[in-house]
Amino acid sequence: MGQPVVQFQILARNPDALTAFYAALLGWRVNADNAMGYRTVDTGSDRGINGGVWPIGPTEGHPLVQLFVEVDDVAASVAKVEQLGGRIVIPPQALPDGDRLAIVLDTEGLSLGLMQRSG
Amino acid sequence: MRCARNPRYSLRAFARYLKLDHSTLSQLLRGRRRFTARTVERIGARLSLTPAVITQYVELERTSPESWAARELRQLSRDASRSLAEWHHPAILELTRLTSFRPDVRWIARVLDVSVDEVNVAVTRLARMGLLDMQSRTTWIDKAGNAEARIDGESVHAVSAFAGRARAIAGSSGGRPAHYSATTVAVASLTSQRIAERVAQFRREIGEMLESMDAERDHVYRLELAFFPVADLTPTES
Repeated sequence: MGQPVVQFQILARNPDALTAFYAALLGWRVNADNAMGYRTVDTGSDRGINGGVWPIGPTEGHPLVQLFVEVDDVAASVAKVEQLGGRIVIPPQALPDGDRLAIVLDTEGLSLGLMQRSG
Repeated sequence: MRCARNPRYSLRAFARYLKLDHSTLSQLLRGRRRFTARTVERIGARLSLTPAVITQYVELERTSPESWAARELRQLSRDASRSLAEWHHPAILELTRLTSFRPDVRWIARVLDVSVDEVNVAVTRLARMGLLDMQSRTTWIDKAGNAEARIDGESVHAVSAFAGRARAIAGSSGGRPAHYSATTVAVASLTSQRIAERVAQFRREIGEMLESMDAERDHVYRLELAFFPVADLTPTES
């Protein structure tokens, strides 16, 4: 089973401009028809991973790419983060589709999503 | 309606809230100045961090020149500043108390008349600050409770945004009860403190009344109480 990287996420100040850029450049398809208005990105390939785009405010850090790792138990994984020298940015939250997601920083300060799929 | 932004005003108001010089806060937020232990303690106390967490930040800041503590404090400060300055943050928290609440960002954006992206940025901030808990796919919890958001008398930016929102929905309010009045009066300095205390007491009583009621909540109102000097009568040297 393992705990694989399942998705990339781009944090963007102007998500519409960014998705238009990748649609024009690579033909990626974007769909935001979901309860979070989350822009899912379909690369159109069976290989690699798909992704998503999330907005950030004008005063928040800088645009970046995060990796989302699927874990068996997000609460248990988050509990280990600080023991291992990482930090919790957003504790586990339940998304409207039932998935659970936490955002943490690793020992290099890199932002990482820990995701537990529903059902 | 879009909330007009004035970052400079927000920074000054937030600096006053933190009891810091605004230029010092500006340098801290831009990473051009290091947090001292005293500054960390002061900011931590104003942001209601626990003593243990403040001590942890102080220690991290002391031991690591480019520590996460500084970065996290900067982010927390920015979050707090925006949350206090932008009206839709507390409005989102209050919506979660409604029986008709839908954990659907598109619904939140529609009822508050802000964009989906603005809601998602706010939701991220609120979750990062621990003020919002998305507990299940159907339940979001306002963890801020009935805490009083106050910036030492400086909330004109947020107040004016709320007033604009109130005007925008006035035509479709369907006769819901509302009251708005304001007056400007001359007061004796000796009585101003007593009046401020009465106003604060009244707000607490309304909060307690709401908490003690069992009836299902089905709407969001804004209660504004403001009492502040509008004339600068400090004697000037001639």
